[in-house]
Amino acid sequence: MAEQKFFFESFQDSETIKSYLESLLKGIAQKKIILRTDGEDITMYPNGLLKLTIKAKRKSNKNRLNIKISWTDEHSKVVSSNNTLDIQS
Amino acid sequence: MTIVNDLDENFRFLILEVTNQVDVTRNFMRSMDKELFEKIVSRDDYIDNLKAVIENLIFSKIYQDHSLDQKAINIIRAKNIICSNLERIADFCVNIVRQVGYIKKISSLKNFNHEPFFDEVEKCFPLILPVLEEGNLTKALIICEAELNLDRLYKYHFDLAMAGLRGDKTPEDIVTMLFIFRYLERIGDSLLNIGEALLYAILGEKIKIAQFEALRKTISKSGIDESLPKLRYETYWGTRSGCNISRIKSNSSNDGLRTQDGIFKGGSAKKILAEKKNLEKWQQIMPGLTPKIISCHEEGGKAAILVEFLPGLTLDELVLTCDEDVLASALNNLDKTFQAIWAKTMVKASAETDYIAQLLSRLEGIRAVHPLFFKQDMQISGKPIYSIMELISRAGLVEKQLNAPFTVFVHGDCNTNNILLNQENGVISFIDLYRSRQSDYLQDVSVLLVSFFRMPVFAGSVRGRLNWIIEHIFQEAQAFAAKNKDVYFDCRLALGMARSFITSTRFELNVEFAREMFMRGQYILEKVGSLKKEELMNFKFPIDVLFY
Repeated sequence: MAEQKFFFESFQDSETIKSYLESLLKGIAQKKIILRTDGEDITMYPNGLLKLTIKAKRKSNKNRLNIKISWTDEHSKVVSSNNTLDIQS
Repeated sequence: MTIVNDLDENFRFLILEVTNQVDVTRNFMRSMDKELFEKIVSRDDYIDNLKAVIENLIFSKIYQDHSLDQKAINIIRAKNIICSNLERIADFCVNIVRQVGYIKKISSLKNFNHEPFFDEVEKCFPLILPVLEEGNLTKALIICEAELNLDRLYKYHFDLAMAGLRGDKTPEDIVTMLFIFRYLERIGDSLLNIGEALLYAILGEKIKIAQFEALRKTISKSGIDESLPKLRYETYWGTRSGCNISRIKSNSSNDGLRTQDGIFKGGSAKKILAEKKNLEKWQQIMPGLTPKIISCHEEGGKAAILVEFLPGLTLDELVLTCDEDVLASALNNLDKTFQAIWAKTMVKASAETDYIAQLLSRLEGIRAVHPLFFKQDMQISGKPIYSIMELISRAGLVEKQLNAPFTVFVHGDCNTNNILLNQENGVISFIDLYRSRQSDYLQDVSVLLVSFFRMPVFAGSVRGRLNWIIEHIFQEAQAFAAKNKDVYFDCRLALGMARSFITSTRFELNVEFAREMFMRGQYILEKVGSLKKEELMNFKFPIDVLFY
């Protein structure tokens, strides 16, 4: 599958951000989030084991709060192997 | 003094020089001749240089001479160890003669006798070259035993010194003399290193004298008709059980002698004897599943066991190397093996489990490797995020409500590298069984699942294969639970998986992957720890945590 990307950045007040987050929360509850950009949809299915990363940074008067959710869709489960290894230690 | 550019010759020189240095030290102790003192001190620089030259020759020979076979390389490496220890012995000689200068009244020390120390040390040097040239094991052992004899002499003189200190008017001299004997005792330690290096040159594997003695006694009890030098001794490095494990092979080529191949394990008597007892029990439960005991030997808190060598590939080797039909068939045999063991050993009486206790007992080991994983309680806008300790404590309370409905005899260390498949006949074998006991079958299931999960293959078709195996084992266990009305299967598996995910991190130095396992364990603990009593039976194990 070709890589799909969505990027959005804007200035908002906290009330508007709340409405965006609520929209995302609704998608998470339904296990389906649709993001549209340039007439193209990216549909994500946040299901199963999701990794949530929250990072906050405050330095002098600058603030940053990152919220990241990542997951793998369906894990490959097949007995056959072409024996190509990617071993790390 | 010229130094020639030949390894053998310089090595011979070094032995002669150190022999001479020890001899002159002995003479100095007798005569207190100042000239001898200066000779010893000035000779030490030459010995240091000689050692440096030999080291250079050894490294360049190993790197540049590609014609060397393994045996020749072993001898060169042994020479390197011997060379360092000889140089150390020469240093001790200098230390000894310097100490003598602090003695004020030599006549007060007439009870102390350094001569037997020197006798013991000096008898070793002429043996080094013959051992290297002829592979004479007896002479190598004489060198090793010198350490023990020097220790005994030191103990005798130490006691003498303590008695002397209680009433003597010259305690300073007694303490100085004790320092001298201490250096002679340390020469014994260096001689032991030399002896062990010689054993290495002969046997081709690094072996400690205590281990060697245990091996000698165990082999002698086994009735194997081979002298030790004729047996091949291969050390298996990297064991985590605290035991030394080696494979003993007969070098004879006659047919049938392969049955004499054995696995030799030496270590604490507690572990080895537990393994022996368990192997005997396994032989009763399912003959052929585990290696037969050839012989066992116990002495002074240590024990050694020689067991049959079982041929085959470990499960992790199978995953990486075998075709899909071989792997599928192996898994099928594994299922049948577990089903048979569980059916045969099932005791239908509920029993407490100790997954949280196992986790707690390993926590310090995990913290030592990954201290950053241990965070305190946190909050996000008032929502609490529990620390790992709090999660463990909550899950511990849940575990108390969850007895296993029955127990079976478990492997106890059911990792992929402790299960073998003989590809010729498809037979599954278990090895490394000192933790076997009557327990919850999910103990083995959870350890095995994490053992597959943590194989360091993170992408591609092999990971797909691992996920497939993990799902298969999970489904088999789930079916067994359903058949045996094990209503708390999901909860207990969760506790076992949390325990295994988190404890496995102490062996995982890839921090990213270790964190991945730690977080999975945390996630499971959070799920289980939040359950109310009435929810326990309906809890569904979050199977997604098993797949990477």
